Amino acid sequence: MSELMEAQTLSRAQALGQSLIDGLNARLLGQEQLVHMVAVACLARGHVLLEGLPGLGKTELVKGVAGFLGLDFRRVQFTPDLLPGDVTGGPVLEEKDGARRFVFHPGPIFGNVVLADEINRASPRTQSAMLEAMQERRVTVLGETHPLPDPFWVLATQNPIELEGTFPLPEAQLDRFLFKLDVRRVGADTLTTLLTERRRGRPPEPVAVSDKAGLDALFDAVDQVFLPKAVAAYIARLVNATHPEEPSAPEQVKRYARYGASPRAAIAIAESARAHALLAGKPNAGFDDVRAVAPHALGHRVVVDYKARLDGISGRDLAELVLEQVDELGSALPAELS
Amino acid sequence: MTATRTHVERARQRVVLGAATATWLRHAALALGVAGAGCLLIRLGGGEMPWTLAPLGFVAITPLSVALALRGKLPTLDTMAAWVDREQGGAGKVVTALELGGDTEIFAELPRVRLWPSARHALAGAAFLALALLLPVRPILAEPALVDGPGVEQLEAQREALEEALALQEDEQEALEESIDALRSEQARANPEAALEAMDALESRMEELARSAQQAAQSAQEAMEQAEQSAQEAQQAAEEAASAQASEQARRQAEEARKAAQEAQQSTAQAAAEALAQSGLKLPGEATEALNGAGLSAEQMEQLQSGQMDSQQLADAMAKMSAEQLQAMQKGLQQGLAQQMAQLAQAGLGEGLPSAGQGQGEGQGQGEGQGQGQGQGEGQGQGQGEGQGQGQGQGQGGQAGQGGVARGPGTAEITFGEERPDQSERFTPTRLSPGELDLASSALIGEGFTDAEVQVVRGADGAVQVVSSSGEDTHRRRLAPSHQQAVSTWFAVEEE
Repeated sequence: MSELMEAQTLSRAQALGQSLIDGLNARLLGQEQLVHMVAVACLARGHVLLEGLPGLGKTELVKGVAGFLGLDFRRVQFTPDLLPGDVTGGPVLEEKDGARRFVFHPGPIFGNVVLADEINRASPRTQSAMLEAMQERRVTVLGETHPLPDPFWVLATQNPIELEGTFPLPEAQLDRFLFKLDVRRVGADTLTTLLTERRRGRPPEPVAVSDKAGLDALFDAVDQVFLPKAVAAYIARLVNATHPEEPSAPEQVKRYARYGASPRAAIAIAESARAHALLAGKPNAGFDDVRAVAPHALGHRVVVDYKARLDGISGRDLAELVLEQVDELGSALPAELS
Repeated sequence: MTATRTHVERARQRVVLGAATATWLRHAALALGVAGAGCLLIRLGGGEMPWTLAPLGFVAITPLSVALALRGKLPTLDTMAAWVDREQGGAGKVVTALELGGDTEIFAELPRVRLWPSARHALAGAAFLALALLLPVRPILAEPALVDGPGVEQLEAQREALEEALALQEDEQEALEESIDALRSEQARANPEAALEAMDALESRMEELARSAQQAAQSAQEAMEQAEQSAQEAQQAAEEAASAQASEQARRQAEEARKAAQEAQQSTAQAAAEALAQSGLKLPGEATEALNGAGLSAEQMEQLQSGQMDSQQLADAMAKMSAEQLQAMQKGLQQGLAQQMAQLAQAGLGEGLPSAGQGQGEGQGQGEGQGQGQGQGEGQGQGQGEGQGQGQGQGQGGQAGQGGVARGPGTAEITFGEERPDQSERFTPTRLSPGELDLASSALIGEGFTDAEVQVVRGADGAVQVVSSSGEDTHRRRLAPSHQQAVSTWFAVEEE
């Protein structure tokens, strides 16, 4: 790409994205940053892992995404006895015109927006089937491939408490999620507004802000956001700095990190930076966009060792440290420069 | 060229220029420091001006070192674009404009380069160089002036003057000559400290000899005056005895007075002769002429002139001399000794004697002059006599303090670069008795090659403490029980 997108296209796409954000903010009170990052992930067509305590509105948020974008919403409640077929669907013997044959019955994964609730409660086998579908965006059953609808998002949730009897997602599978977002509790003012303005806490029903064509145009606009080489190089340095064997890695990364982020992380940051820039009305991604999205994209991809756990250091902490220490310029300027 | 690119280019130029300047200032500071140190060393070594300025070549090569230091470290245009972009909030507009050839609003200021810290270092280096070039320094690496030719030659001249004036003993002469030869060798070995010590000691020795001669000459003159006076009294008594024919009693009294005066003349002549002999001074020609009529043989006269005559023979001769002869001898002695002392004083030894023309009235002044000569020095006498520190030049210790003129009285054994054997640490080797070792519970682990040399210190409570006298003992061959366990544990672990 050698040109910036037209201002009109940019303006239209930004307006649509802002409508989605406004709608979600109206539906989920007091979670502006979370909503913004979920919108970024949606525009970047990435899956999101939401982690937070029960009752914070995770399900309503996902429902809202589907509703405002006019997309099909599916929900799967993950439990230990859930089987892969319960998610992907499977063949069912049917009789038609006197003949019996297996007919594929799609599972709940065949939706545009899939809420994988408490994904860490399912067995690894089921998790794998789910995460494979997320990556490939298709399901193969009995040798027959069934593409998933487009767009396709999985917004999974997991509970940081009651971890007994759960199956924590392996690092390789965590990598499939564009972002891992922490859902935090809201303040007293938000709660007061919730109690006074919403009967039984029921949010307003979402009204679609776009149709399929509008959504495709939005995705095209994201793809047209220019990523300068200097910003791309900055992303590359950030990802490299998460690797403990990298000379430029911060000292704490060398001490605490076992594995750094994968190239998929760099792609995720670049795509989400583009989406972030679009929502900011910019035709190009900048360093500020990278800084905004990088902690969410890197935090769950940096694998820490036992020492970090003992010291209370998380991958997110190391990601923020990397962001703090890696310079945008790539090479140091003379020390005399003020 | 777009405005954005122009701005980024200008920013880069400023950074490059600033970095080069700052780096050059830092390198120049280092070069100036090195050059200053080099100049200082050359000056201390006695180098001449063209060589002194040679280290400034370090400053001349700093541009090359700056170019090497900055090679590959100067920011590229893309880096500066990223810097400008970051200064504007990091929205990516500048880097995008630069990459796509577009333009964007630039509100970031051009970078500022702080040169003052580097300039401060360079100024400090320049100040050091200026000090190194301008500060008055005395070359310390060249041979000191005190030890060079003139210093030794002056001592040689003093020695010759001393030998000319005094009849030195043969061993004394040899000692002085050997000392001056040793001085020359120390000088050749570039050992200025030892040479200075030797010079001081030698000079003190010769001054002492001259001073002793001066004192003896003074005593001899006084004795000569008394002898002359006694001779006059004897002559007067003899005349009185010869004229007192009428009264036997008076004649007898006059005879007794003459005998007493002769005895006094003899004793004072004896004292004068002894003083002359003690001084070692060669008898001046004027004095020996007066002795011609005293019945001395030619050999005795020759001995007298060379200062080797027996004091008794001289006393006998002087006892036979008349008052006029004694007066003539005293006068000749005074003139001759004054001349000899003047020669010594000219050579830097002693204060000299008043000339004959100055007369008796100046005797006191002469004494004061000697007193001053003896009062020099702040010696730190050492030795068996427990040195009379703060000396008035009259140390009472058996050994005089080391050092030179200003360091105490008398002569010190000259040390030419080696430690005096009697100044090494004194200790008494003590062999431990078996009872002082815990032989019952310790174990013999080996035998050494030398005897143990330890000090046994007994405390007031009767406790015995054994202190090793050396850090390299080979006698620790016994291990206490607790140490045995420690050693076995240690080596057991090592074997695993």
